Amino acid sequence: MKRATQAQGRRSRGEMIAAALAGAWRERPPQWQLTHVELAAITPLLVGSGAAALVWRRLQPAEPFNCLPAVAAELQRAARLQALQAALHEKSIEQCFALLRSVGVEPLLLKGWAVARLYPERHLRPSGDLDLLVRPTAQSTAAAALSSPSRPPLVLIDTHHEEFDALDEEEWDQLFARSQLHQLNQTPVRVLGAEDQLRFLCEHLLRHSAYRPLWLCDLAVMLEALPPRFDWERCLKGTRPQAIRLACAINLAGRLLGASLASVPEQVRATPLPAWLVSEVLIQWERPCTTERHAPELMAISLRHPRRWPRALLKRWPDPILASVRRGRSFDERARLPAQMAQYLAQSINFLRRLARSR
Amino acid sequence: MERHLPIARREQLVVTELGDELLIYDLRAHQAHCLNRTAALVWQHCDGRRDIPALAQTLTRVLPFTVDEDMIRLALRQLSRRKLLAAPLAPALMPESGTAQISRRVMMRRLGVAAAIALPLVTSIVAPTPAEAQSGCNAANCPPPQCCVAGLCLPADECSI
Repeated sequence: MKRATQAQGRRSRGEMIAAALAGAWRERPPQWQLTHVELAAITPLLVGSGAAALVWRRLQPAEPFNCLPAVAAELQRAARLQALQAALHEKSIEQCFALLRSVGVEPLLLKGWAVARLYPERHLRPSGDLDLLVRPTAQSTAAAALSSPSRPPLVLIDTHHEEFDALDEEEWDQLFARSQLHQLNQTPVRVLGAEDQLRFLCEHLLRHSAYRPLWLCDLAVMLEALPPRFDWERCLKGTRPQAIRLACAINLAGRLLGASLASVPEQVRATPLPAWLVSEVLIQWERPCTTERHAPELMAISLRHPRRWPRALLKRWPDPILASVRRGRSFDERARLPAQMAQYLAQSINFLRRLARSR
Repeated sequence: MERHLPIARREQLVVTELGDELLIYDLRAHQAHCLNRTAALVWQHCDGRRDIPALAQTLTRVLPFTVDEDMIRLALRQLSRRKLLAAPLAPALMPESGTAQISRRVMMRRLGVAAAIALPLVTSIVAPTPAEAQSGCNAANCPPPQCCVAGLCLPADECSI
């Protein structure tokens, strides 16, 4: 397994990314630590993961000479694009909320602007898709409205989120009862209550193997902006493995990005952070955030080409974070190989079942 | 002499500020533009009531340097080319005409490189597309007969499983 950290004196790219983003969300970020060469090495990863504007802002205006001109140009270009995307995205949010409300559906906005509003400037946290939560009973009405010509153009809208699949009707009611309205230009936008939001960000981060550094920044931003009387019991409720997992996500934000955990309860801060988890997150950050990460070639297509089997099989080997979450394993220091093997087996059985059904 | 009273186009545009720059996305042409401070101020003050001398005076009051009419014409030409004015610029102000052949390069030579940074500048930038921002598909944005596999929406003939 590739080491996530290098010999003393040389940082891995994952560590450089962590250093570049540490505290970058604050009004006054900490002193810049990276060399020209280090920043140049990670700029493509920063741009690809949507973190360019955060870093560009951090380089302004006090230390304009901490990067090569070509790097500065690339970061500035990306920051401009992010600013434009943010403006377009906000317009889409307003259109979407108006459309859904016109058909009697009240949506909840997840991620994106719901978190971006906590950053000093909203474009620092770019959004691609529009992630909306609607009650299961309103799904078909919402889907029909979002397929109509009146739907906002230029944006992909996602209304399914597995983190909420297991909720019953009463829990949906409670979720909406705890939600909050925040003003976006002329539109009141509904977002999750703080406890649900933090929990969701933790779960989402780990279910996607924490591969995008911005998601950990979101956690850090939230942790430093928690409201008074934040209900930690509600936020962390669940089975013991779940609670440990959430605590680990929170501690990751502290360890890798220097997030202040002053408002986090002692028992959460004291939860040990497994070394494999830290290492794996840094490794994930060293890979580009491209669609190749999501979508290997369909296995059914690979099966027709035996030469592609080794690559196809290897590509589907689950990382330790994903495997631990999917198999419900506790985030402790025990080796992850059993969880990875169990997850690989489960994926294979699932595939064979679908293959049999399709024949 | 003919008075030119330019008007900034406002409809079908999404506008946002980033530091000193103004970023504009044209929803009609699906193009994005970046206006530096000088160009942004010219655009923002094109209200159909100010002619070129008035624009120059207004900007001179706002900016820490003198803005002459050539600068205003340079800005207006760039804005007009990118369809950021409500109506095309009068022919007299376009480069083909003998009265408006001051180019950015000529002005830079005249002002010197240091001062040239104040010249109005409108650049087009590559605009983001929804596909570039996609993080996954689902039944809503990938309806049948397509299929959503591991975050990608695939055409029907690839949905063999």
